[in-house]
Amino acid sequence: MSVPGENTVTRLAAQPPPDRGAQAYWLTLLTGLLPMFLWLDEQACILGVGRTLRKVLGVPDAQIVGAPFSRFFSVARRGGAVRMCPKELRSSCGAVDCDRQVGRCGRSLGAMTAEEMLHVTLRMRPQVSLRGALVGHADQPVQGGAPTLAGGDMLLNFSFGIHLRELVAEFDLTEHDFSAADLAMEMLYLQEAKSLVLEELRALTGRLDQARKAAEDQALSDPLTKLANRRAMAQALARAVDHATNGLANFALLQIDLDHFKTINDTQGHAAGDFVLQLVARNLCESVRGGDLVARMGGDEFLVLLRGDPSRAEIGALAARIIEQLEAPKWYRGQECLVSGSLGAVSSRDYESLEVAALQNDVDRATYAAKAAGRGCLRFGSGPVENVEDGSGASPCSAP
Amino acid sequence: MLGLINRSIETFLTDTHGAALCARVRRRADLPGESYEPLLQYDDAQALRLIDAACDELGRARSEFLEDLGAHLCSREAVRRLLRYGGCDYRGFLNSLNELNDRARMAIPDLKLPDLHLVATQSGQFRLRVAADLPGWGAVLAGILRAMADDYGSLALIEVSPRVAGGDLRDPGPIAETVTIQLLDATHAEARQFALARMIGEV
Repeated sequence: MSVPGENTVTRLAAQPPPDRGAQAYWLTLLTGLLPMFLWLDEQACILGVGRTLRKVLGVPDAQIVGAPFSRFFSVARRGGAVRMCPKELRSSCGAVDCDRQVGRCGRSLGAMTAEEMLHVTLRMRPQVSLRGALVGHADQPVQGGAPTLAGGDMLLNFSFGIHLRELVAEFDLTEHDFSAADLAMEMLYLQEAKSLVLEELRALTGRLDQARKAAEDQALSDPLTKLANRRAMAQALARAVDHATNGLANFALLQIDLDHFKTINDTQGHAAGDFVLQLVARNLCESVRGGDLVARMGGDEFLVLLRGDPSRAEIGALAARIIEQLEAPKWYRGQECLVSGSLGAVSSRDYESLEVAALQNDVDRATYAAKAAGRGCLRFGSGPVENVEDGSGASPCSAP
Repeated sequence: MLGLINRSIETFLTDTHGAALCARVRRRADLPGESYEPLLQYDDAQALRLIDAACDELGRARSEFLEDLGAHLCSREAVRRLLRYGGCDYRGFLNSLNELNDRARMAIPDLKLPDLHLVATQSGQFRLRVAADLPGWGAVLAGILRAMADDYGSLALIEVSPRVAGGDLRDPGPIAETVTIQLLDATHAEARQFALARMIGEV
């Protein structure tokens, strides 16, 4: 192997003074146009380096010029393996003591850059990766305009690629480190501006999402009792019917109509009425299971969606508890509020084909039947009104 | 007009005079809603009402208020940084004003800023022509130019010429105002720090 830099020194020494002047001029021109250029000789020794690339390498010119390419660069992507010489190149290569990494010689670099983009990482800082391309390759000594480009020389141009922002920060670069024609400044500006816009959009999305949730809550809940409202029940019921129709889960509906509520409103005032509704709502919520849904359908009418396919006995027991709570003494400003309730229930498994309207109609009729039976009791219903059954043994009418 | 502009007026009021005053101004201007969404469009008239109400509430002249608004904009780090991309010195920044509108649109296509046209006069001054659909942008620009002169450590005299008296108010064309800039000393003081690629997300 030749001594690194020998070629350079010999060449520079051999050049007559006018050419040196031309070389200096040419290098100034080159670094202005391509501040990240790297000029290599056929041995892959560095003959010249652009000012910005020098800043990246972080060492003075004197330590760069004459040094082999591979002292500073590995041909590899960030975090990737170092590229090795292809077989066809090795078979015709006479080098001894070479680890066959691309970049050890000009030949391997030349072969690679002729085929593809060059990805390198810095030996000293492997987290820094650059992208490079071959600008010119002189097979024969070039005369005239470029007096120093000798046979086998390569001119490479590097860029920061998508890591621009990160590397500009890392090396503390300024706009003077880029060529005037480079769009790097616009890229940096745009990235910064876009990130601000994105932040605003994220904030807007957050605000809209909160507003949506608030509106949804408002649309689906009863302001007085905080229970679900008719609309929320309709949605839940539609889903429950869908599930049951698909054989996933049966459910039951329990309707509660307060008895004597109108009297409280008329004689004790609306505040007393509101108090009773809120108390009933709280009691209902405490009586049902976690997955069940309690809704105030309007006025003094409540509907409970009981999930988990409860048996008639279970529904009867729940109804008995509810009636007991309804009839328990309630006091509003020193006056007792006397209420009770008529309850109707239907189970989805009693139906061949489920329809929301039919279910609601039947549970309504069952509740009416309970009212007709003397209030304070439960009636089951499904299908035609004749099928409305007595609550049999589970009927809370006979409960103490 | 993009809510971003209305919001920056509100932010200026809140930052310098407090949230209570900003709320009073909004009531005085009889504006709908609670605030502005920066990326939604609003009627131009709302911005004018907001400015008029603020001037009434503070008892300040409109031009003064708008100049302070411009200066306040530059005190916001994000805005200051985007403006500093314009040039590495104040002269470069002044020249970049010609493309400020395009730069802004590069970031937010809906943002319509006034058309700016900078000319260097023979006496070494600069004249900035500010053409917009609404009056007052000249004063905002003057505030921005003053604040950025400080930022670059330059000493400059900045004046807004009053709008030409007798100009036809029914003229449907854009309203043009002129700001003159006399750069006395480009390196009067040390410029504020500006690192190109501060990592995104840092403040």
